[in-house]
Amino acid sequence: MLANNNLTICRTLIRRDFRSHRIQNCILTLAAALVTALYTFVFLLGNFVESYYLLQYQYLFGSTSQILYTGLTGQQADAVAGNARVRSSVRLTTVGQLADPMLGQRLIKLAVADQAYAETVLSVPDAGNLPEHPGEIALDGLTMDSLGIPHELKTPVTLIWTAPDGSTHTSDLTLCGWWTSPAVFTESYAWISPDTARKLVPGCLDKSSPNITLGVNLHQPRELDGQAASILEEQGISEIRFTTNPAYSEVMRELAAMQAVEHYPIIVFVPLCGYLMIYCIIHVAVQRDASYYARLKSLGMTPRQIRHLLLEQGCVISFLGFLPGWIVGFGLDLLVSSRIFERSDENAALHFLTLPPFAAAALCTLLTTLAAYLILSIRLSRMTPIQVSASAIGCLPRRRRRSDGRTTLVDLAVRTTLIRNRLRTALSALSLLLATLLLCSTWIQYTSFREDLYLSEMSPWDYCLMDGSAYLSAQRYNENNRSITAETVKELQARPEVTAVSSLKTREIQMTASEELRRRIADHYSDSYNETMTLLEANAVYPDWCAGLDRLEQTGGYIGLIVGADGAFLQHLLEDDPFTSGSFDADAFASGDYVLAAGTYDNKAVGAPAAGERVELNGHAYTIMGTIIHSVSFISGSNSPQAAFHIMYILPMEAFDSLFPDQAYRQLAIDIDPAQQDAFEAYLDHFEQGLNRGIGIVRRSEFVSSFQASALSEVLPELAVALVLLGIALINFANMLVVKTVSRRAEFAVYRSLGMTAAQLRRLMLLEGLFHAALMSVLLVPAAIFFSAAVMPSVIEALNSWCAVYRFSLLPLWVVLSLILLLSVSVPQVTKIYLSCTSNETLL
Amino acid sequence: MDIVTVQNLHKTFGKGESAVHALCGISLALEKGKFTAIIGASGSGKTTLLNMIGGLDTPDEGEIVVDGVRLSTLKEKELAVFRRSKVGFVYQSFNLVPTLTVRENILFPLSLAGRTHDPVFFSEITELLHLQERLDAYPHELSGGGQQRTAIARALISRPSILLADEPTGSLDSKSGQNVLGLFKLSVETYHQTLVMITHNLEIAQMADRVIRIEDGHICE
Amino acid sequence: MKSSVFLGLTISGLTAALIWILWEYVPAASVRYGILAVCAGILLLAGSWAALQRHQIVRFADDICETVDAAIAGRQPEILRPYDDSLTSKVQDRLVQYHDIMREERLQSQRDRQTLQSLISDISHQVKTPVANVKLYAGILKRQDIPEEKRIQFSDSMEAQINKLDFLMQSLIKMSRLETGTFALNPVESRLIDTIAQAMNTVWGKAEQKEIEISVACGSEITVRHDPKWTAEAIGNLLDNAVKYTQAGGKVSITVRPWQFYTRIDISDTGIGISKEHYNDVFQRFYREEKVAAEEGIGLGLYLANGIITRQKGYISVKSQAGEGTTFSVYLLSSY
Repeated sequence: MLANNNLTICRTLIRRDFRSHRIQNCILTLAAALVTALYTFVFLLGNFVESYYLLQYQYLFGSTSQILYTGLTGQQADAVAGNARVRSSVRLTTVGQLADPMLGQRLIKLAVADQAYAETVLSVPDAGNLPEHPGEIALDGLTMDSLGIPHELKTPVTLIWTAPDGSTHTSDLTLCGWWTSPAVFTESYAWISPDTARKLVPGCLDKSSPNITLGVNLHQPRELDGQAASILEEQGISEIRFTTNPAYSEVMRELAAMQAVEHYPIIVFVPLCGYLMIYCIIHVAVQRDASYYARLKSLGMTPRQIRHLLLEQGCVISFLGFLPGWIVGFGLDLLVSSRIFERSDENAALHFLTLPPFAAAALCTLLTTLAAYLILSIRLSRMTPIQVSASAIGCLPRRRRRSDGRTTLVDLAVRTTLIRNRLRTALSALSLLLATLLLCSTWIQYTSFREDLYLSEMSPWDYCLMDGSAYLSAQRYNENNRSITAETVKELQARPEVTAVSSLKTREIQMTASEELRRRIADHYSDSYNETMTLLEANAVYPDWCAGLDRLEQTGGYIGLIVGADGAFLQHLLEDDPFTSGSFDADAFASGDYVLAAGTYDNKAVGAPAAGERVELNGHAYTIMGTIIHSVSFISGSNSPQAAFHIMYILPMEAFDSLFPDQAYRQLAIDIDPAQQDAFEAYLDHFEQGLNRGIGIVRRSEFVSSFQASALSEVLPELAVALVLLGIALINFANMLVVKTVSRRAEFAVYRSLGMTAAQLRRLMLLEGLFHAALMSVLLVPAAIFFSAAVMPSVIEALNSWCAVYRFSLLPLWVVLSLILLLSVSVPQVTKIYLSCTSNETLL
Repeated sequence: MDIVTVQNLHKTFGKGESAVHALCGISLALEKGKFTAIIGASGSGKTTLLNMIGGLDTPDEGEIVVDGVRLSTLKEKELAVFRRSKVGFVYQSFNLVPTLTVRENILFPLSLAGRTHDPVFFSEITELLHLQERLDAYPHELSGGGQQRTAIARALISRPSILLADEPTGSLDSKSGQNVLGLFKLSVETYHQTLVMITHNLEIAQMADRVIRIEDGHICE
Repeated sequence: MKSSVFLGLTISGLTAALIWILWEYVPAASVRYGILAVCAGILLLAGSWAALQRHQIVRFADDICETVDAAIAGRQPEILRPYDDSLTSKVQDRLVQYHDIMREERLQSQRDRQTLQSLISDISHQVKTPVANVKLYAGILKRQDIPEEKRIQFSDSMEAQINKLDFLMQSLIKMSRLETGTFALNPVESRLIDTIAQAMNTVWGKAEQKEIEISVACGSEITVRHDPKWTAEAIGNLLDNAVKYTQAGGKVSITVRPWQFYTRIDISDTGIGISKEHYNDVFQRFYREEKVAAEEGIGLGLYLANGIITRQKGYISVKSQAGEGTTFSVYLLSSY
């Protein structure tokens, strides 16, 4: 059946409606824009989180390439790069590998500089440049710190490196650039120019030498392992090793998606509140325009036309809302996502920007809006015109209590507030309630993160200075480094702001355990850890540690970590780690004859020499004062691999200095007068810049700000959504008040004509506003209190965070209520004034 | 030939004690091409009866047959087509669409039907109703009479078989009233339309072929 | 036919081109077949869409033809679903309306033809007697031997018959002018009492003869915009009618009531009355109730009166009680 071509009139009506109901349509567009903004924000955030985690996985892998082929010859590399499946490739020519033992677990490849490859492994110098001339080298900051190379261009660098054939060489080169590489990298590069390479390893750039690493990106990054293998097969190359980037594997993608999904649950609120809001506004509009729709129907508008009229209006409103919504949503995302992860820079949000989130947001908004319109259009199209116009009047109370017929202002106000348009009021209350609850939840989560708990654990002192080689846990502390010297300590102590400087030095020495100690430790570790395995087996994942323990059991030889500590370090040690034998005596300890020993991580046994035993350190004999549990966590950097298993001996600083007079400081802990923090920070900045050697500074303020940032980032997405939803709900509420006032113009005229003074009318409206606010509080307060007191504790519990303690707070509720009060008092008055200023025609 | 047959129509508004029986068992038949006037006191159910004949409301009980079709068998979408093609309605309150101009209002039933209009007929009607000057004005810019005349033009434009008018001359001066009545008579005669008019004006009722008096939902002829 | 060949050629050409492009430039077989399948799907969808549209258009045309056929055959077109919001019912609705109007007009012209026939027979009937009489008198007057007083008597009789013919002619002329519209009305704002007085002049004599009392209740200040001459004629006809059918000694009263829209002039008599079913008929041409066949008259008076008043956008209504009297109400548009 050919449908009638009679929809043009609907478009005309919509156009006219937009022209004549500007305010209402503006509010609707605003609502649609906010809904779009919310969707955009949530989708962008999800996308951001997913991309961010994927990038993190790529960082972990150390390269953004999808497949890395190693050990290719030049011809093979060309063949692989030419395969049809390969989209792009980058290549690296490895000359050798740095072999300095100070590099710890980090693997530094000596390679020919290649800008494209350097980009894929994020190793492009940000100071200086890639080597171009013979004899130049570019290194990463961590390597330089480990090797004790000052951060200055043209510094001579002496490198120990091994060639592919296994021979070790030493070369002198000049530093031409460095970069700060991401801390998670265990692999890095030392770039040299091709000339240098040719000089170091003759023939290394020949086509036939198998020293090329090829980073490959495919057209379809799926099942990388299979594809990598089949590419080799297709090119007829065999016995080539390759690794695939786990960031592109399904598992990692799912993992990243899981991380993103964590941010999606709030999205449930968006359609709900968005729907409620738009529904409310158009419901109000349709009710107000009931006579309009009734007459359209009475003149023969078919349900199909009514549907078109409303749905097209919905579409127009959504489309109008898209652009501002996208902009607002993107702005929110920019604001939030740069804070949600500590180390992501501001441009990350821009970097991860893709179109699908915007499209998805637009689609969702459209669906939400249309759903809101659909219900009304179905309702409207089912009713006869008379029913439509009757629906606007609504039901008035059937019978009132016997009254004497006199009506006071209060009576009138109560009747308007409570009885008229109850559904409308209920809907707007519902959206307010949802927003308030979300806000309460977010706020309680935020306040439940306890800063003091976090700080006492993470940073017991105000500042901590560390040797450059011990900045990160992956770095091996270089005992020969002299970054922090006695002069530094003196200088710091001389600062007026500083109240205390505590220092820490360490030294690894070779020691031999007594037979008794050997047995004690061996027994301890062969004890059962739980039903299935012994303590030793539980530690089997740390091979270095096992080797150390093995050596102790076999030969009695072990590494003793001699620690010289004073002040806050000693204090912290004594407070946090309980004694398993002996007890602390400050005077005796200060005398320098006694040491503290720390061995096992367990308080069941004395995993180290016990109190009263004697021990000889570097030729000096000491008495063990007591044994503590080895749970020392504040020593930065890592020890040598041999020292993975060690026994710690703690001496007073003076005793340590007399043992090892030339040893530099590993760590300093500084406490300052809080009032002079700014001055000290300035000094510290200056100090840091003036240094030409690696030194790590950790500030308590960093922990404070990082705590605040992470506490905020934990709740930021919800907070943003909650705030926007609150905005929506408040607009909705205001709209309801406006419509209530506008639609009663005639009624006000009647009151006025019956002799109500302007002052009385104002009082009536003020009363109504107050009643509205009261009504909302009656609905909101119990719900919010119940939610905060009964539901939230278990939510905090479920967070499972050691620094979160439930704290009851109703601050958001009071804020919302005061906003409601403000709106309900001011909006009707403002509307009234506006109405009296404008002529009839603006509001038909 | 009867174009409208109404049988045993009942309609009650409200429930319980406050229920109002607007129509209690009304039966009547309207002959094609005739002018029927309905008179009666306010609240006697005249408008309800007219609304039901026009398909704007549904009866609680009883049957309305218009041009051989039982209205109760029509769905809302068919009723809408019925309203715009069979019936021209002039309401007590003018019922113009506020966002459309006078011209668009007059042509609205045709627009809804997706039909083109006959420009000659259009200008004839607007001239007779003295609307030709105000065609591009919006309803709120017209006087009450102007709005009423627009509504009448709109009812006539689609040449419906049945003209239902609820106090069409209520807010008109006598000259416009005469014109309106003349136009109604002319239209009725030219297009063999059936005119049903609610009126309080006994003069107009005098002109009718038939006068029906409704009192408290009952017919007293 | 030509266009379908062209379409077929184009489609096969495009398909060939597509296949060539696919096999030339798309290496993966699955992708090739995928694209091919999608294109085929699109083609199929478009084809079935076009077929559906065509089917609907054909059905539309069939439905319309059916309606038109019924109208041509003179049957009332039957519409299966009269209130569908479809193109078919939109056009059908118009067709049915057109058909109804045409049928109504056909019936009207049939009625007019009948009226014309009866008009002719009426006129011939009306003319027949006076003409026969005139013929008779003329024959008598031709004879030389009639005495002078007889001749004068016959001449008088003949003159009366000729006057009657003349009156008939006048009435017919007025009627035809009324019908053809060559009838100039000069409405002026004037006092109604003057017009009524003028109308009463024509019946004064007759009324006096029958001893019928005529009373007038009309405010001298009432003015109406009307054509005094023709309105007087119309009211005169009504009065003549009233006097004619009222027994001697009866009463005729004229009452004028100025209303909002209309000024109402009631002309009531105490005559024989008109039965309800003939209310409309009395205004028909040459209509004469059987019971008044004895009275002289040609049945054009009321017709003319009605015509004159209607031309001035007024109307005449009648209310009567058989045996007790009749009230004709003339509604003239009030001045405003």
